[in-house]
Amino acid sequence: MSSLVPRDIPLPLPAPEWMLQLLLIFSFALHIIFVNLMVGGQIMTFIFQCMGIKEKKWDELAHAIAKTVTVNKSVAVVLGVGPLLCLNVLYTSFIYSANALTGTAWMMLVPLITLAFLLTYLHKYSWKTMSHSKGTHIAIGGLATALFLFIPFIFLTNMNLMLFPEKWSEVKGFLSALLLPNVFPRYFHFIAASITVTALFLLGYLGKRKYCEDIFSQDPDFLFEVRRKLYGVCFVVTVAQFIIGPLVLFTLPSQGITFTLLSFLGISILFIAYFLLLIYREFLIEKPIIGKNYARIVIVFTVVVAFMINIRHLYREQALSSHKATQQQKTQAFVEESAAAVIDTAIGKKIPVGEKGKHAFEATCGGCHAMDKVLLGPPIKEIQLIYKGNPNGIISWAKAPGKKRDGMSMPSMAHIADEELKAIAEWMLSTK
Amino acid sequence: MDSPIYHLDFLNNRMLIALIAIIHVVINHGMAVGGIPLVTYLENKGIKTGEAKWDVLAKRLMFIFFIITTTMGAMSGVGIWFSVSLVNPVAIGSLLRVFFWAWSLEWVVFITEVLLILWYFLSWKAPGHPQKKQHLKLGKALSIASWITMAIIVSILGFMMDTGSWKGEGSLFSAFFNPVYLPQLAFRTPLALLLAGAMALVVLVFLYMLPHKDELPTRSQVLPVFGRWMLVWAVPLVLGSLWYRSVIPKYSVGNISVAVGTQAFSAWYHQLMLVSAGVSLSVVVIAIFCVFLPQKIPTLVLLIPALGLTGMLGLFERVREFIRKPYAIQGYLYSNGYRVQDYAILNRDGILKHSTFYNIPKITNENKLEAGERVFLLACSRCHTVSGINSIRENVGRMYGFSEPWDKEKLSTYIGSMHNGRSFMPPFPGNNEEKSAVASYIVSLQWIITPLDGAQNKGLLNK
Repeated sequence: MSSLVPRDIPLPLPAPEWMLQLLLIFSFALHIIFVNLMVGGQIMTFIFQCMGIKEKKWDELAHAIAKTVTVNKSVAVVLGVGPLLCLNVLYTSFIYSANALTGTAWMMLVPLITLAFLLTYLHKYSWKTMSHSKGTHIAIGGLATALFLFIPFIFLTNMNLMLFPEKWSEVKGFLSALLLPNVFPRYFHFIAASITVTALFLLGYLGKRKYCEDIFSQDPDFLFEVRRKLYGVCFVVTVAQFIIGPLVLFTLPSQGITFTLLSFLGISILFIAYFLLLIYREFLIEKPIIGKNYARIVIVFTVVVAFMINIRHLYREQALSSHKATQQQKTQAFVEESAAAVIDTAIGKKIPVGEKGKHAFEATCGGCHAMDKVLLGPPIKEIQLIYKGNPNGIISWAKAPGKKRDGMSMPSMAHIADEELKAIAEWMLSTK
Repeated sequence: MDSPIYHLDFLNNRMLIALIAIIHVVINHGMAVGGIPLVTYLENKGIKTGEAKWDVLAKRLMFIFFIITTTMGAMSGVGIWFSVSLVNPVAIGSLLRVFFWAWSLEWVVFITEVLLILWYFLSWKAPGHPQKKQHLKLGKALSIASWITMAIIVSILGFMMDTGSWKGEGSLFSAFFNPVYLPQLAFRTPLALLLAGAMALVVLVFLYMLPHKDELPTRSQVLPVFGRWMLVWAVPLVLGSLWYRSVIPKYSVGNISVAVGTQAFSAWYHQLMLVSAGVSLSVVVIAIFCVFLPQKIPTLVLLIPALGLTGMLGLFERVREFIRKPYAIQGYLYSNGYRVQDYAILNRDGILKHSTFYNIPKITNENKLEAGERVFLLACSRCHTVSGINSIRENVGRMYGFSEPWDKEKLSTYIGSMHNGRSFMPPFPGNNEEKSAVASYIVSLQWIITPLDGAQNKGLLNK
């Protein structure tokens, strides 16, 4: 039902549409990588800390990862401003409608994310002081992890809902929007991607920086063990994406799928296959070294991410294209009709010279004063008795009213032009 | 724009924005824009005097500021955006289109600020470290970046109060340098620095309760420093506030007395002004005591300046938000979300006819109450609730009495001219049938209270 697409804001876009879209794609890519690092990092911190109950070395690894989460989360938030800005400008009424329809959950994002962040700080800074109450400490990390796992549902539900105006009338609150077909597959796609991105990041980060070296200085083989584990995780999760990915594609309403999109998808699958091959080869090495092969893996993965983000954008543009066209038409028609109405009213408004006071009175004072009955203020008949032959008295009272009667006191009319007040006062005294 | 209407019938939509905005502005001004220069000043003091305790104080103060600004500070900033886009999407959508490039620049400065704060705090060097002086430079750079983020956003706030020559020119430049901009900036900058001193007193009380407090300078060493800091910024603050007051658009000045309280409290204007003056005076007196008699101040008194200034800042933001009424963007958009220039067509055809989601083709006797409810949702609910804060039942009851039955004819006439009596209210945007429908709806609420649900609970009305 295309008629249920709202009008747009009748102000021009601040830049050509393609430029804004480019900015959106680019800034979103940066943002989502850090979100991946934040969510994936928190998940891994939690898992490794649990493993650390038996073997201390995993606990130290978890601590090193926890230190990256609190940094990455700040970068993730600040990088989110750019894409949100572009999204608001490009898809104004679509995103605002989706926000309003899931308003309670959308607003809850703010306290939930704040709480998650505070917990990650508490978790990180209490690592040493809480080493004797490990259970509680792990529970704090676990709570933060649970929040990080829940929060993406709210974002995904909104981003999904804004694409389908035809579904808006079925939605009653966040939960019903969450249950629209595509949200859950996209969610698992996102979580899996977060784990892959984080694993790749940690491969480059661990063992290189001075922050983490002391973990591995006692036991150099531990570093290789960690690396092989991370490669293994990358491999398994990416293989799993071959099940999740098609699920995402098949649950997407078909109106957004084009041949360009499918061919992009085809090319990216080739890159993913190459990516899998590369990490599998690293996984087989007993003591993997971070060097040329790692750089190649990162480059191939970056290409995959670029494709994925473009596919996502292509789908959005296609899914909204007919709605955007309808919207543009509707907005244009309204703006023209509105401008015509302004001219019509201006013509209709020409008031005969002698009736200026009467019109101004009705518009300004009529809500509270009538000829001979009490509305809120006294009737004109009464005012005539008080101010007979004294229009200036009415004017000065109206500008700075006092209080003579019970009930509401009169608000000041000082904002109305003197000339108009004079016309009103004279008409009030002359009318019968 | 006519997207679905989000509505909070108890808290009031504006109150939602206000609560988040106050948290944000207190943290941003006190702990970032003003707080970082204070920390940098203390770090510098440590280097100059060669006394490690000043560095310890700087670092611990920074720790608290860091944790709070990167969690509640950052997220409440996002929260303002989220809440405004729920409550008045047309206003924020329009502002974004006009200020897109300013906001993009803001974003770049913002990224710089976050990277610098992470770098500054996480790479803190111990006193005597060979790179200590470089580290201090980070603090200075961060101070500048924090100030620039505020300097950009203040322009947008000024624009909402006075659009200046933008309506004629339509350029970003004319919008950015609106008449209220520089005076407001001159007011906010010393306010932020003063507030930082007050916040630092609170943090100090807290730090003295933690272990290892003997590494910090003593009370009688710190308090004079903080006291002097506050006194120094109090002077430009007074000058800045006078300049700012002088440029508030003329039509807005009359709104101030209502803005300070709610409508019902406007009579208290003078009392509230006295209270504000009292708070300012007590801040100055406490600062003077800090400088000259640091030992004589009871600990609890050290909390007063931050509390008092937070209250004042809240009042100030409330006044700023209120005096731009009846507009959301002065001269262009009313606070009900309707453009000034669309009033002709809406007055003629009605707002329901031109609404996508709340459309009713014809108002009849049968659907009058339903139509009235929809008109209320579209035209009144941005500021009024049925029975919560700024409730329409309260307001109408105060006018016509609570026990006598309300007269819908009287109310309908009143709605047509209320903007003249109450200059902070936008004119009614709809046509006569809608005026009468919304009057019937409001009158129906006198005895039976039916809470009004927004789209977030009820979904869309037209299927």
